[in-house]
Order: sequence, then C-alpha cells, then structure tokens
Amino acid sequence: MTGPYRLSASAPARFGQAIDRSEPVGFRLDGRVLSGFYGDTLASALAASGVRTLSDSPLLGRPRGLFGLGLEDASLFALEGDRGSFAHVSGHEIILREGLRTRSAGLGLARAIRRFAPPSGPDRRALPVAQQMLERLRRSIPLPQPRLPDAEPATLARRETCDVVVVGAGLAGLAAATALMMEGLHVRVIEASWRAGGLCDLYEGAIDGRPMADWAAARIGQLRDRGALALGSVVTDIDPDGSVTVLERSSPQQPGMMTLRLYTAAAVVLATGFRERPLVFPGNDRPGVILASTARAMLRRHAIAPGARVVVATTCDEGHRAAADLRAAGVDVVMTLDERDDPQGAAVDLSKALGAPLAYASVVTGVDYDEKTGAITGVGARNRDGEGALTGARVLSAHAVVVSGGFAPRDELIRAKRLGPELGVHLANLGPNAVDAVRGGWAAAGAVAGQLGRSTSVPAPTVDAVEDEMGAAAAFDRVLAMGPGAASAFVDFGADVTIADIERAVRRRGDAPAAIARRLGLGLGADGGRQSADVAELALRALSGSTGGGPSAPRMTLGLFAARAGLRND
Amino acid sequence: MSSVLGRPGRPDRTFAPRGDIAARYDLVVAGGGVRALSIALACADQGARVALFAPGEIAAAADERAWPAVRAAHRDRLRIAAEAKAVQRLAKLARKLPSAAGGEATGCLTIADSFDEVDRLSSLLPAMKASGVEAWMVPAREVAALSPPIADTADLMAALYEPSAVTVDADALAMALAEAAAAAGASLFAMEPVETIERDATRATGLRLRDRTVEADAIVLADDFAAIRLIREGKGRLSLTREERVTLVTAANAPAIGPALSSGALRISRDREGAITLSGPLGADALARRALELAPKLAGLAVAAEEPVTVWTGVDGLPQVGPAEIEGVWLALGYGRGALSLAIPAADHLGALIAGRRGDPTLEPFAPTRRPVARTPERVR
Repeated sequence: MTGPYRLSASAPARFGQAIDRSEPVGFRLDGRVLSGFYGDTLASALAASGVRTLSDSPLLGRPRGLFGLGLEDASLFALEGDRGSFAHVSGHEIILREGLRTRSAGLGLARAIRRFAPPSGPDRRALPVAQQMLERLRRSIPLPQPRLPDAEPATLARRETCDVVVVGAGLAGLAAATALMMEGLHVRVIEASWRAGGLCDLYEGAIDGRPMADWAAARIGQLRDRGALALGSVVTDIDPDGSVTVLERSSPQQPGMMTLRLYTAAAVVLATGFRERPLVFPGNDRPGVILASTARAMLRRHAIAPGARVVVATTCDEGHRAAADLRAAGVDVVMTLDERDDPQGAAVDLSKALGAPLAYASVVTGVDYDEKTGAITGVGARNRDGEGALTGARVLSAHAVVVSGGFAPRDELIRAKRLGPELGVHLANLGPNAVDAVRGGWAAAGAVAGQLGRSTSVPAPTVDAVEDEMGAAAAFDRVLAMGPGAASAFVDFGADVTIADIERAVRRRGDAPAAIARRLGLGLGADGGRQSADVAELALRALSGSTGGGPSAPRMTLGLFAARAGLRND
Repeated sequence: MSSVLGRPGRPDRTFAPRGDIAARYDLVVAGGGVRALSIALACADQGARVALFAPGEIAAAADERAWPAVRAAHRDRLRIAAEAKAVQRLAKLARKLPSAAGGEATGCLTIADSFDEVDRLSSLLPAMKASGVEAWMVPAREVAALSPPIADTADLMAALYEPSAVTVDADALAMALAEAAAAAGASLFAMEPVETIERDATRATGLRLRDRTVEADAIVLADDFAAIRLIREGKGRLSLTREERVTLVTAANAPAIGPALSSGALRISRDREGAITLSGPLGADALARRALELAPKLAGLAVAAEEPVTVWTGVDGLPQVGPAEIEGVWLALGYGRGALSLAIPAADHLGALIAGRRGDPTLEPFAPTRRPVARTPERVR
C-alpha cells in the first residue's frame, strides 16, 4: 500500500496507545460512511481508511494531506450542523464518536473558479481572470447578490479574574501551574487542544521517577479537580495592561460555540512550546510529506504509519527519533538524510548502533508525485553542497517523506507587542525538550511568585530525559542553489506562497517587508502562517535582508471585538 | 506587448541602492507614501533631478491604506473645490503608469448620523454642482439598496452618494508611481530617514541623512511625522493635529458592501480580493462595535490584521500644501482621513509652483502661510 495505513494488532504495544481495537466506531464525512476505532481522531481514522488528500489549498487548489497537528493544521473540518467562524477545526481535534457527521471546510464557488485559473499577476493577490470577469459582470448587470450570512447571535462574553493565566498545558505549562498552585496562587491554564499534556507522551523520560505521561496525567487531574484547566480554548490576545482574551469552547461536540472570556490576571506565563519547522524543497506540500512529530504522534497514539516505505529528512534529532519509531513499527525506512555534517545526539547514536542507512550532509531535492493516484512515488536526494558528479544525486523509491527542520518557539502572542517580564508576561519556552520545558516552567513560576511578592522555596522536579537542541533551519541560499525548480518550494502553506513568489516580490518592491507580506498574503491562510512555522520569515530575511511576516495568533471576528468592547466599557 | 497596450515599459531598477545617493539634486522629497511618490513623479516628469528619501518602506502609507478611496464629495467646501477633478486625474494618470493601478468605480456613500448632518451635506450640494462634481443625496431606502450589509441598521439616515468615486489598490498605485518616477529619472531610496534640514542664513540648502548631506534647490516634506520634527528643530512653526485611529482588515471573500462607506469618523472600504478595511478613531473594540451598529451582518468576519494609524490634519482642518515659511521648503502635509483624494491634485499643484508657474487656484486656501481659522469641533461617537 502506498499511503498511510494502520499497523496490525501485532505491532509493539507502545504504538496505538490511545485507540481500542475492539471498539469500532462508524462516522460520516461529506456523506461517505467510514469507520475507525474508539479513541481515533478524525484525521487518524481518515488516514487508516487510506484517504491521502484531506483538503485542497485555498489559492492554487493543490491537494494537501496530513502535515501538522492542532492549531498548525490547515486542513479543516467541521461538524455537521455547526456553524460560525470557529466551527472549522483541525481533524486532529475531532474525537470520533458513533454516528458523528462531519464535513470538510467547504470549497465555495470562488475557490472552484480559482482552481481553474490560478493567479499569474506580478503580485500574488491579483485576482484570476475568471473572477475578474465575474466581478465586472456583476457591476454591469444587476445579478442577484449572493445571500449574506445570517447575523450571528451575540457571543457570550464575561470577565474573569485570576492571579495567573498560564497559556499552554504542555510540560512547561503544567510545571508552572503546579509550582504556582503550591504557592497558593489562583491559576487558570488555557490549552488550545482538547488533549492536555502536549507531546510528552511521545518521548521517553522520567520526572521524579515516574514516566512523563504519568506525571503529566497526575498534574492534569489535579488541575481539573480545581477547575483550573480550560481545554479547547484559544488565547487570541494579551494586552500590556494584563488582560488576556480567551475564546473558550464548552464542549468538543460543538466547536463553533465560543465564549469570550476576558481574564484580568496579575501575570501571564506563556508556555506555548515549540512548533516543528518544515523543510523547503520542491513539492514540500504534497500529501505524503509529514512532520516528524506528527508522524510520531500518529504512530504512538493511533498506530498509523505514513507509508510502507519512508524517507526521513532532518536537520535535528527529532527525525532520527522518528526513524527509530518507524523502524520499530515495521516500516521500511529507506534512508535517513541528515543535513548536518556530523550529527550528535542520543537518537543518532541509536541509529548508528543499529546500522540503519544514514546519509550525512544530504538534502531532499524534490518529490515525484503521481497526480492520478495522489501518491508520492520517489524522493530525490543529493549531497548538501556538492557540484557535478560529487553531488551523488539519486532518486529513492518511497511513499512518504518525514521531515523535520528544527523547532521554532510559538511566541506570536508577544512578539508583535514586545511584551516582556516587566509587563508581567513571563516566557516558559526555554527549549524543545522535557528538561528545558520543566525547568523553564518552574523558573517562570518563580519569577511570577517574585513579582507577586511571594517567596518560592519549592524545589523543581528532577527530569531525566534527553535534551534536544532547537535545530537550525536550512539555509536558503543552499536551497536556491539546488537548481531551477527549487524556487517552487512552498514557504507558507496556508497562503500558497512559494520562494519564487517572494523572489519576484522582492525584485519588484525592493526593501519593503511589510508591503511584501501584505501583497503575498503571508500569514493570511486558514492556519495564519503557523503551519510553516517561521520559514516564511526566514525566506524573506534571506532574500531581502529585512524582517517581517511571521505566523500570527488565532483570529477574532468583528463580533468578538464588539463583545469585548462591551466588556471593557462595563 | 506594453507598447501595444499603450503603457510605457517598466524601468530596470525601481529602487536605488544607498551607494547611489548623489551630492546634489534639484528636488528632494522626504516621505514614502503615495503622496510623496506622486510629487516625485510630477516633478521628475518636468525634467528635474529628483530624489526621494523614505524613512521606512516605499509603499502606501498606513493612512493611505486605511481608506483608499478617491472621491470629490468631501464634507468640506474647500476640499470639494480642490478634489473636484481628482477622479478624472487619477484615471488619466493611471493610463500613463507602467503597471495597472487604476481603481474600481465603486462609488462613495457619506452616511449622515444626525439630522444636522443631513442638512449640512445638503447645503454642500450647490458647491459640488458648481465644481462639476456629480453627487446627490439619496434617501435611507436607497442607501440600504446600494449597500446590502447596512440594510438592517435601525435608524439609517440619508446619505450623500457619489457614483463615480473610485476605490484604488493603494499598494499597487504606490508601486506604479514608483516605477513611473524611476523611469522618469527619479532616484528612490527606502529606509533613509532624514536627520535635519540644512540651512544657511536665508534659505534651506539641503538635507542631512544618516551619514551624508544632500544639497537641493527645493525640499518637499510629505511625511507628517518627520516634518513636525524637522521644522520644529529648525525653530519653525508647524501646527498639525493628530488623530490616532485603528485599521482592521478582515479576511478575503467578505460580502460586498457596495460603495465605499463613510459615516462620521468611521470609514469602510473593500478591495478587489474582498477584504474589508475598517478605520475608526477609538480602539479596535470600539471600532468593531461601531461598524456592527452600522452593518450587523459583518459580525462573522474574521479580522486578519489590526494596525494603529496616525492621521494628521492642519489645525483648522485643512491640509497644508504649498511653500513653507522657510524658503526652499515646501509642505504637503495634513491631508486628513481621505489622503488619496488630494494626493494627485496636490502633486500637480506643487510641481507647478516649484517650477515657478502658477499653481491650481483651488489649492490656494491650503497654503501653509495662511492665517488659520477657528476649527469646528467634531463629535466622535
């Protein structure tokens, strides 16, 4: 089989921890009847059913598959009967239950038109020809106007007060919340996903002698008992005056029903963690290309493998860890391409000890994609910077590419406004590994306690885990030197912006990063630029030397702004 | 192909590198928006050696993007006279620019928010007719028909409708003006803030940039923020009022709002992609609330960008366009909320004045050396 598939029941027990194979669950997607297991998410059940393409990209209509998790996912689905701007959620956030009816975030007529005539103007945001004709026609002939959306019912909005708001319930957030509760402070933990604990269940390690997942579950239970944990809630705004705007969902069955809560907190701890960066090569948006953390999450939680034959391309240790997991699950890892010259790390040492095929200083140059079957058939690889015969260019036959380009912190909430500890916003994102997470969370809690006048004397928990590095992104001049087709690599998946678009915009507009980001629509896709982490920003910096265009925080609607205005006035 | 379509070709290089800054120019423009670029183009077309120094990017400025409508039916009598031919001039200029930058003729609706406002707008109609502006008052029902999203507003009043007003793509217009100016021989430098104005006993002789001095016969200040600092440092007098506003830009494919809307201090426009731009005086929350009072059906639109904007107006509500008190310095400041409408007429006027010809008489009242009149306060809801 050439697509993602479910591992057989004889796979090692650590794969498929969240599912129960004895309980099948049936559900509908756009009318099709599909089935999965109890504990599956919509995305994992679709992958198990062999559905490779989850959505089409908004501007160019390219098929997209499993790539990122949670808020970083641009393939959105909605539950039948749920309306509103927030009804579209990632497939990983919809937990299956019997008889669930879902639909994919629709392709309207405008998008259908766009697919047939992709824009070709000098700036990306020029309309395609077909749509221009439609607009002109609409102005000259009184066509009936499309029906306006019904006025939404006013959102419930409430003010809340607490001592500290902790954004994110990963290891760092749980550590910070635990430390703060031990000081006796009133804490509220806000987590965007319906599953707390972040990625801690994917890593080996121990905290205070217990496995990380157990420690995290104990902390989550403690928070839940006190009613301090808000799941499925998104922080959209942090103000310098200390108010945090949170959009809270009451139930996973109705993701469209949002309540606006305006928290007035004395301090905010940002424990949002890190997001994995994709690699940049032509065809890096095809279904079959998947991030290493997503691949491991699907493997460990739902026993889904991305393909029967897989190539792993990485610039950090995470890819090697994914290769080890895939090998243990019985997937044929054809080759692991590491861009570094001499990688060091626990997972790399394990791969070396097992004698797995490793290639150093190698990069992916492209992907052979078969339009008809919608599957990857081959992956091009090459030496990182060689010329001519020394490049060792070859095509590996594989069905999936697992990529990992390092980690970038999720700091878009504070970057635009430059919030810092002097305004009461403390960052707990020290590093993308358990040791740094717990240490950072504990340190941030200590800083908050100091700010609020309490002395901390609680010792931090001992964490026994591997300390991963952040991993550097691939250098863009190397990417561009790869050949003429290299510029068709995507740097912003949600907005369909390629390196060629940025090059053209920089050539035309010169040194104007904000204007270029506006024209290309960087960060204006369904994922807000989050799926590609900070790749777009790095590309802009490499091509024009100026900074701008990073991922953006989740969006509010006009109705929510107005509701918040009502709160602030009262 | 471009010659077949009648457009001039694009220049090889629009923006010049820093190393190319010469020691002397005929005219130097300080500013980076559509206003500054149109002045640079107008003067470069007359054959002068022009340099433009933008403190930031060379792109449409924030207050130009906040409401990118070019219209003539203004609330102020003097500006009606000055902007009467703005739309036609923009169309004529757009035909000569290297890339497409014209706007769509969406029209413009100035919705009154009280009966006094209705009377005031109606009293301006004779002045508009005299200047040749095609605009008339429309009753509330027709306002609802022209702009479907505001059909549900409870107490909608009459409005002033100008069907030939145009919504432009401000960034595209800035780019096209920059390319035309570069093709005409102007040198455009981005990220070059001006430190001071160099003066001798009688007049201004040039500008001092970060690391060098540029001499010029004429200096045009088209950036309000920098101009206040530069003139006051030179012990001159310059009074501009500032208004802090917020711009909210929604995601694309929002419903059509019909003409560009203006109601009190609120401004709403929609670009060709379908993203609605809202601009208003108080914070983002109050702006959204005011916009939803006007158009409740827009409540579900997601906001993609939020940007603070500073809008400058002269002390008496009029712009300051013309020669300053310091000889050799010309001002193009205080355009107010509708910055794009006045950009091209003011650019032509300044170009004529600097060349020594007689400018546009309708812009005489905006000369900076006038005596300021008491300003009528505006109520902000």
